[in-house]
Amino acid sequence: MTTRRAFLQIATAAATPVALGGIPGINPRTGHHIVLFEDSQPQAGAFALRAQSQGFATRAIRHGDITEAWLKSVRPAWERRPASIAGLTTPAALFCFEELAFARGLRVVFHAEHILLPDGSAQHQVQRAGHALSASALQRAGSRWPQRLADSLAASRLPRMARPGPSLASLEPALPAGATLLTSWIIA
Amino acid sequence: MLPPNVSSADFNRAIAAWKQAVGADWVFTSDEDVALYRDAYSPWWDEPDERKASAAVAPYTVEQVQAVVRTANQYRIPLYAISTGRNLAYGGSAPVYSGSVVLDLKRMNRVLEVSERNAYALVEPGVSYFDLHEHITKQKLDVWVDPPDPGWGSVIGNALDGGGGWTAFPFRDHFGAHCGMEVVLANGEIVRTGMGALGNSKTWQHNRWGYGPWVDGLFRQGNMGVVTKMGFHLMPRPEAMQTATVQGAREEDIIPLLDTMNLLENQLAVNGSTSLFGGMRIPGMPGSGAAMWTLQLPIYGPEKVVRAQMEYCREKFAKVPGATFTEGELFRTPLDEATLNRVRKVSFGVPDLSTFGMLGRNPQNPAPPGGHIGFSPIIPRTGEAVLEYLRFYTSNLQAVSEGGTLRFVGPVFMTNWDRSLVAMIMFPIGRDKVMNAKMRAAFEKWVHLAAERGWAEYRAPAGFQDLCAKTYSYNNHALTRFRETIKDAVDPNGILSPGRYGVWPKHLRKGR
Repeated sequence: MTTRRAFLQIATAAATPVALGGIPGINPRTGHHIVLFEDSQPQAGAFALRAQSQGFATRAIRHGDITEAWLKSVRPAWERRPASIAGLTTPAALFCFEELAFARGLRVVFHAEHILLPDGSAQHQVQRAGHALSASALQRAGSRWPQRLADSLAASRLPRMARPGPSLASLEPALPAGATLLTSWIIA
Repeated sequence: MLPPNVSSADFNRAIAAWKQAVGADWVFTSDEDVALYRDAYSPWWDEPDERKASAAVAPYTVEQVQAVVRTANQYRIPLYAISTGRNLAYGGSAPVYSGSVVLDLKRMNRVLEVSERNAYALVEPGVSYFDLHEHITKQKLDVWVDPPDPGWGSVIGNALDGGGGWTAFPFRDHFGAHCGMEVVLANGEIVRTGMGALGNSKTWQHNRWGYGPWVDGLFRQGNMGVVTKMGFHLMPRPEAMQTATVQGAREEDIIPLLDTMNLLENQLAVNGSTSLFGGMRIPGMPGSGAAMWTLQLPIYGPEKVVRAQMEYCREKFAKVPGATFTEGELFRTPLDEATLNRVRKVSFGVPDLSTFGMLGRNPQNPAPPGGHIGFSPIIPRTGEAVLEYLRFYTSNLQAVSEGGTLRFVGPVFMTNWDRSLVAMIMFPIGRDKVMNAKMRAAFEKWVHLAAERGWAEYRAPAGFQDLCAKTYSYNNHALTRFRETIKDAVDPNGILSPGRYGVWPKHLRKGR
């Protein structure tokens, strides 16, 4: 049976060469429309800087409020055609984009959580591995994990299919005292 | 998953008929697609009792809705209608009755009319506050929408669920501000309410009452039909808006403070969505400083009138011993972008999603669970009732929270409607199933404890709608029985949203 996602993937694949060229901000190497980042977290800022250097258009989100990014950047792009987006944001921001993406046949194909501990270190957990990046690779990168994350976005093509259903972005995990949670993701 | 009591053969025949009616691309049966209709904040997430759909159908026109409903009736398949499915914390897009087929109306997203002269709109269920605001902005019409928090939901869906917004009375009572409906009944017939029942009506969105018994209320939090169009009265852009802040230092000050605020609101001297903070020291909330109570009183209107009303409010609060009264900035509309970026947008008719930022992790809220459900009892709008509720809350908190191990948020007093308060407590929902089970048990305890005091909910998460409906028990649940009588008459096969707000069709009532 043709699923909504498969249907849209077929339509998207058929239109890719022309459509990608028509969307401002699309990175032709990966197909990502834009990379979003949480402006209030230095790690996310470092991620965005690296993504910019890789040729991505980036847009800041402040304190998890996606309104401006949604209205001025992502929605206009998605009205032309469903294009993939990526980010290092709060879980709430991912949750919002994920909900909005469902109606366009897009899903979260990569989802990792980054627990920022009070001592400055970070722990990583990949929740949905539709991407060639592992938690251990991020752990090995030490404090430069945001750059490693951005590099991996630029290096790999998107997967064709992911685990069904919504991600766990709407429900946060328990964290150690004083820790903060960032989430990295690809919607495609 | 099959719908309950439906054979695989019949379900397949219905699916085929729906594909014929709406197109194969808009009938969703794969696990991958159906999973998108799960309730993101379900307190039963990944547990056997989580409410789940068996399939989804997304029509584009009212004729397609009729066809879907007729097929459901033929095969007795329960449908669960959603507009955009963003009723988060109250069930989202998941059905009340597990196994129902979601009737997803988000493709019906046409703004059919916006009249600036008579200040109304006619929309379909898939129109979000963002969509309506964008339409109004593009057309350069001088009317406002009244967005709730957040603005991505359906204008119709929010009204039908009993939602409210943040601008002026009467527009922020979203069901109260509606004017006329189009409804597809369980037999597939279309009904238009109010003046819309006139064959060649020219006043469907002008006069909500029409002629004879008014039936619109049957479709609020209801399951008597599928609303496919709805009119709403809109607020002409007010010239100005100004908010006064009033504070009182002592606990007992809430009595004269609230009496004064009520008088001003009931006189419409204050027409904006007022706020009441205090009584409990909630970090980050206004009113958690030196003052015990903080009231905020927004006034919308022509600048001269706003200034006069503000002066009148000052005079009234001057009679409350110890109260301080501070006028806020007067805003002239339309706001420029810089001003809009420093105010709460929804108070100026601009939808946004900032709520999700506020619900996130921050210094005041270091451990947000992400998900939540709301316990929202209605209490009288008096200082005495507020104090009684706070005493009730604190005296039961230890027991209900298992010695303080369960962290609730609240109570927050919401003044969306005149003459009553919503004393909301939020229950965090996360990934920990054991903790979620404790939160569910706590929710049930609060419902029972509140009902003993004569307080009941105005709105409830899908999984608790039966529980809350049972608290409306006057005269052996006469109101529920009356609703069931109507339900059985208009939907004899019980196919439309069974169980929504505690109204079950005859064949599913046994044992409930």
